[in-house]
Amino acid sequence: MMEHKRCPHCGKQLNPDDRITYTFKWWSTILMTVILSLMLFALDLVDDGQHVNFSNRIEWSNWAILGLWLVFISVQLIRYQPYYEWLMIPVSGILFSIFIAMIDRYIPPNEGFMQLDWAWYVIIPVLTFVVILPIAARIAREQPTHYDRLEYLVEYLAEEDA
Amino acid sequence: MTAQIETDGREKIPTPAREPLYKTSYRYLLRELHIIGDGLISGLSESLALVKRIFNPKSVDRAIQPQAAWFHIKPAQPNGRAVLLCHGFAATPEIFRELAETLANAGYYVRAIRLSGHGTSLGHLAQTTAVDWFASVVWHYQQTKENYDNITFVGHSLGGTLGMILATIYPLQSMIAMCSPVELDIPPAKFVREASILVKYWPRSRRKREALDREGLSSYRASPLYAIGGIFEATQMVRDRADHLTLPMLYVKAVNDHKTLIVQPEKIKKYLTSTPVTFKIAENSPHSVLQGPERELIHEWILDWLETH
Repeated sequence: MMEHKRCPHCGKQLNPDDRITYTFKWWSTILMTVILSLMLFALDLVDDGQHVNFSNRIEWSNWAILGLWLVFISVQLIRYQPYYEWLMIPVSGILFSIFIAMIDRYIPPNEGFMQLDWAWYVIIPVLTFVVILPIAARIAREQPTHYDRLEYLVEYLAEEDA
Repeated sequence: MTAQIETDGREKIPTPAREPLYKTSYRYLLRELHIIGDGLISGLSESLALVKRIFNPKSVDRAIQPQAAWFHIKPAQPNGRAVLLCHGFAATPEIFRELAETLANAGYYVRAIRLSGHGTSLGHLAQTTAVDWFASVVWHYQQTKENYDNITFVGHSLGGTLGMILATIYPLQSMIAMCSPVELDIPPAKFVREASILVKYWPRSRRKREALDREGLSSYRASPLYAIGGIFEATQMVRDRADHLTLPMLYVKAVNDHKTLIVQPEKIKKYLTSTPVTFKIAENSPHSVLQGPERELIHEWILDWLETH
């Protein structure tokens, strides 16, 4: 006789076949990002800054959409390699710096170093704290290996049982 | 409610005081809002979960596939003994359905373990290692130990290796390992975790995938390279604690197994010197012995072993 868990609230036997699960297809997150991008694009088209008017001009949504996709790519990189966050977060930091530089280049007067005006005030801290520091900290850290963790658990349980 | 008979002979039924209109309206409004709220939550929960996946790198599918959950079977006529069943890497407890029924019919309490990261999603499995899998085994052992003193461990592949580690800590009655590794001679595997930066999932062979489809099992179609490193950690732990392993063990070898697993009996003789090991050879079986052509023979071997130990 197969037995399942019992619900603590209603007392019914819980059948795993009836359980609602949130498992998505691989393209689902991409689709959601596309939908949000289209929403931003549509809002930009109908809004000219002063009042709602179909102006047929893109004013700000390109940056918002690019930023959304940047977040998506960064998150996917980290999710793809959760154990290599120390490498993936710096990659995201570099992408973010490029994004900020692009915005600065787009906005005049472009008279500073490498034609950037204010972006350096953002890029330099990002490069320091998001790119260099995580890699340096990871290299400098005495991190227990997965085998050390297993050994610790086994020895702890053996001592507890004894 | 009892009716009162008044002196004039007419029946008078007492009625409760009527609720004020504003209270009734308020109650009905709350109920309606509750229904609307429930509807909105149930309708939007999946979309919100998807939006969350854009921004939250930790949101990995951890929902257990319905057919892959752990299960236990209490026998109709119990003999007071328990059997723990543990599946291998990238498999699920589903592989033990037939064996579990057979053992329960013979009077054993059967509990099929689901290892952490298995039966959920590949992304989840990629985040687990040997310590997580072993924690699952220990939890099920401790749950079983509350009711049963006489426990036998049956493990397939990685499950058998984890069972050997368990046997070095806790007093098991005996154990059965099927195609379980103790040492894998694959030198490039040392760099499997570094390789996983570039290639996260390695697809399983077409033959293996076809076999899984034929059996209708919910196993994964690929193997996360990072998690494969955990198998080597588990085998390393067995070799390091081999002196503590003293219980009688039955080892089933499949002739049509991978070449690194066929030589495991020699490895067991080399490393597990303080364990009396009995070897059985399944001549026509692949690595998945419980889905192979000799499954009934292997069920017999397991039942015989349980009766004699």
